[in-house]
Amino acid sequence: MSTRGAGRPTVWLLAAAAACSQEATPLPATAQVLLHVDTDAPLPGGASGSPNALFDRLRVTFIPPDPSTPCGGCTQDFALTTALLSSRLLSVGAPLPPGQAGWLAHVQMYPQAFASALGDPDPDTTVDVTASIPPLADTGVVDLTLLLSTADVGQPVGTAAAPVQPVAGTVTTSQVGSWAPAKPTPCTQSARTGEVCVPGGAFWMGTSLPVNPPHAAIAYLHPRLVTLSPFFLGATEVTVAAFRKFASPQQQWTGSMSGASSLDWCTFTATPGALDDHPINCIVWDLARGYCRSIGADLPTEAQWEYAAGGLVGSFFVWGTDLPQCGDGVWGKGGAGYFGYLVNTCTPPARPTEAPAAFVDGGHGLDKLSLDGGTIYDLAGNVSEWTLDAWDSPDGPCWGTAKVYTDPVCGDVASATYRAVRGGGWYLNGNELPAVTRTQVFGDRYSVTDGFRCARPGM
Amino acid sequence: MWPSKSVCALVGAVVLGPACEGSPAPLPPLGEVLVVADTDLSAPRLVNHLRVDLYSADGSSWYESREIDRSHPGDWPATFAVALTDGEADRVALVRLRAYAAGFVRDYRGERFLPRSPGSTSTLPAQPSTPFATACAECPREVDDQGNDRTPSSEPLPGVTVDRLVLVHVRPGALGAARVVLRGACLGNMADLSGLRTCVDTDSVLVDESEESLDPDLTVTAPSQLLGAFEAQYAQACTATPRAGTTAPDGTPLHDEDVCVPGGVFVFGSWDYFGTGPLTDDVPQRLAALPPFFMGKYEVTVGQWRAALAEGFTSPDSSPDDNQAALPTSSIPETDPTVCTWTSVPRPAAERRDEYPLSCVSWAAARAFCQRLGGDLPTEAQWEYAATATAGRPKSRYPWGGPAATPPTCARVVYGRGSLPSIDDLCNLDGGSFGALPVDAVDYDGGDRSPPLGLDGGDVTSFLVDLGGNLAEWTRDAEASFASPCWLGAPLVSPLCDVPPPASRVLRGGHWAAYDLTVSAAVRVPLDPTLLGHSAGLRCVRPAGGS
Repeated sequence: MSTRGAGRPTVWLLAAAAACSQEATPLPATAQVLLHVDTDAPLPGGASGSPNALFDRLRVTFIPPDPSTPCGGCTQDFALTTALLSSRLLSVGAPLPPGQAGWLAHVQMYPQAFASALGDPDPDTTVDVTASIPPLADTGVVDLTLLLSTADVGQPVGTAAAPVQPVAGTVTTSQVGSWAPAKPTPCTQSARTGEVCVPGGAFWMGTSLPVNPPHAAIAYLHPRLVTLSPFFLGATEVTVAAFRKFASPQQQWTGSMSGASSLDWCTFTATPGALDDHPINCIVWDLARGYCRSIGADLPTEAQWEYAAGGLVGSFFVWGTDLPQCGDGVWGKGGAGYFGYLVNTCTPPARPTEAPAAFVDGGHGLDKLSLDGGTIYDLAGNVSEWTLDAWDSPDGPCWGTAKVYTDPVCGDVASATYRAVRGGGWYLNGNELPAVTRTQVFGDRYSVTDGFRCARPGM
Repeated sequence: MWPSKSVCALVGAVVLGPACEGSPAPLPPLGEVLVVADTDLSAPRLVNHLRVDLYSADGSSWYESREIDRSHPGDWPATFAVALTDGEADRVALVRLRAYAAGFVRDYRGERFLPRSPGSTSTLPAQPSTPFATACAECPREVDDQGNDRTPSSEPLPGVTVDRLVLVHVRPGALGAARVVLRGACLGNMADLSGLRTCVDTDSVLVDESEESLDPDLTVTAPSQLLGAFEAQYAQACTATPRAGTTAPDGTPLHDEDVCVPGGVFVFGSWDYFGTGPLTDDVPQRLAALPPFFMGKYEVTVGQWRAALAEGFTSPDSSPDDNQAALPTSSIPETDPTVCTWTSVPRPAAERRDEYPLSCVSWAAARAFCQRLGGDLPTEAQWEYAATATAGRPKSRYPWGGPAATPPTCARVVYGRGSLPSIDDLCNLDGGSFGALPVDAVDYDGGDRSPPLGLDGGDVTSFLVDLGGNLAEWTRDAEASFASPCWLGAPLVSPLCDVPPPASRVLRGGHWAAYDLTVSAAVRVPLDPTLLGHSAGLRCVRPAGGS
């Protein structure tokens, strides 16, 4: 139902506010500070092809010299948009008492998605600036400008004791959206068969949701601003057929699908067989990485993996926010035989439990990410996937600090004991399919649940 | 110290504020209609965003989609202009207004209109009337005049949204105003875009949208005089007095007092437990309005059951199971008959058996007990509201309140007292802390108590105990997905999904053998109504105006 072409009525819609223009009254002839705010961050409403919006709210608080004085109306929240900064520029007026020294402006730019239930910003995801306001004369407007730099996220700039000095004057041209690390960056090499270019960019990794269920080994990361260089990612999990050219794992399919043995759902067969199109599983981390290195690649980092699994925009599932239904991907198919304690939400009771399903385009429902260079399958389901990083808890040395993370990879990759396995799987429930899901796994453990895919730098 | 004007005036002369983005385009010779959208919901608690979509008059072409932040009470009524880009001809445009709260969205996969179907007993998730493809190739798309696809990836979640269609007629050179009230009574009633039908002021009633007659008066009175009126209808205290607690002839407290749960409007459902099963998902969320009601302060005790029998009450079936033995003091299998709390022969007073919550009781017997008192089992909506969101407080994950998820502890909640290692024995690691406890065991400040329930927070003695633990509690509702017609058709006010037996019924609240997650107040656990759960009991509600 395209609307392009003839007959398109010329009607438009303005987000205009007649209420405001009619209510606007001349301000009293008192002194006023006019605080102009600008940022280099990408905000909602950017042009097509622009970076992901990283912030959408601004809170401005004027703090009196004696901060214990109640200050009604001193805190204001604004919804940030690209248009707001680029066309009208953002400024906040405050008629402060003339001659008073010690007033402060506390400015916080943050994503509403991570705010508390009461609407307060999460400090880890906030660009936070405390600036001093010079004493005002009896009349007249004093223009001051603050630039909120994306690079300062999670690291407050200025304090009440040592505020920064705003720049005098107004903003003429906004820097909105100019933060270079957020810009979508294409791969400069060409893709090989079976891999897809994931353009570089910036996104919020992690979540403020409580871990569900609360468990130390399934610890979501706190929200972290991550920038990534472009990389190539395997379009599918590595298959049995592909892996056979590299090595033979000890754990092989028993030939049975009954689930009576824990090896019934290991997919590998020494000779080509019925499961050749299935993802390889039952391999330890070293073997998975060895395969990737043998083809000139490596395992993806946790950040690369989550970036792709969140649809490059930090969404909850690769397809968006709708809860998974059984047809949307390969999940909820455990729950029989040896794995009777696992989840069988999506297994019709009359049928035996299925092994990881074959890669058949169209059979994986919504579990696919379509990019310019091709489609990446099964990030949410099928097998969970090894990543390159050493495991670290959300508050640990790798991920515990709020800052900008550039191409992060955690720890001593070669020798770590525990790894992060990412993504849901055929045996898991819908609540373990979100892109933020991560599980701590002993690197020398093999499991019918875990496989992998490979990645390599895109430039 | 600030000028008394609203935010707009404060920053008005100097620029913007959320309500002051942009400015009206130059007016005549081009025509313009000012759309003034007011609401009787409360901002920002229940609505804080306005999604505005502009279509051709028949809804077939989609021109514009705007997301407008209206978080301040002073932002309402929200106003915007629909204007002509040339002065040549009259145009009729269809404007779709959706007021909702930020964050409550679902993926846009084409129009997924589902009419409200009150009285439906279908409990499986409903299929959208239009099957959608992954790529949404057949969906209406928003395409700008350069041919770029600007279709938004998400749309407001219908259950928390007032969705209204308005036809406006824009004439060259003319100015007019169209005034629309987005009424709380229409929450959850999705507009039928293809049929041009929309809810105006009555739940479950869609009417044909006709062209709005324009008002020559362009005056906008701000702030809104309607804001919050819908919620105020329900946020009332009880008109009668709660029942005081009584004692048995031997002086044992019966713990039969009840407390007033003031009415209100709240977000019913949450993401706490999503994806764990097709029928018990506690999403999608919806707004629900509840009049005030009385609720038992404690779970129904063994002593209350004994007193009722003495007054002539008889159970409609053979439940509760009779366990004349002492309750176990150390770990045994969780379904052992001696775990049941009811005993027809009183136990020695030192055991306090009559102050234990009554377990191993069927749904029918539980309901009969409550009805005998002129009440009933609570609905799921009543239970979740009482446990998470009374008196307009931000919805909490656990019944003891607080916007942050403060997880249960062994000292606070009667939970984790099962006998399955590493699964439900968190508070019973030595095997000596097994099973339920008397209903007042955690009735202390900092225990498993709800925040004070009064509308003004004044009555600190009015609270509920053991919603988090001790026993899970039967509710009236049948096991049904929140995405099923049974729930989607349930009314906005006092929603209920009632499917005749043998449908399973829903238990709410954690219990002595629960682990952390299932103490979460939004978790729904279905059980066959004839089964006698060793960790299932009840508490009753009764009308707020009753005696």
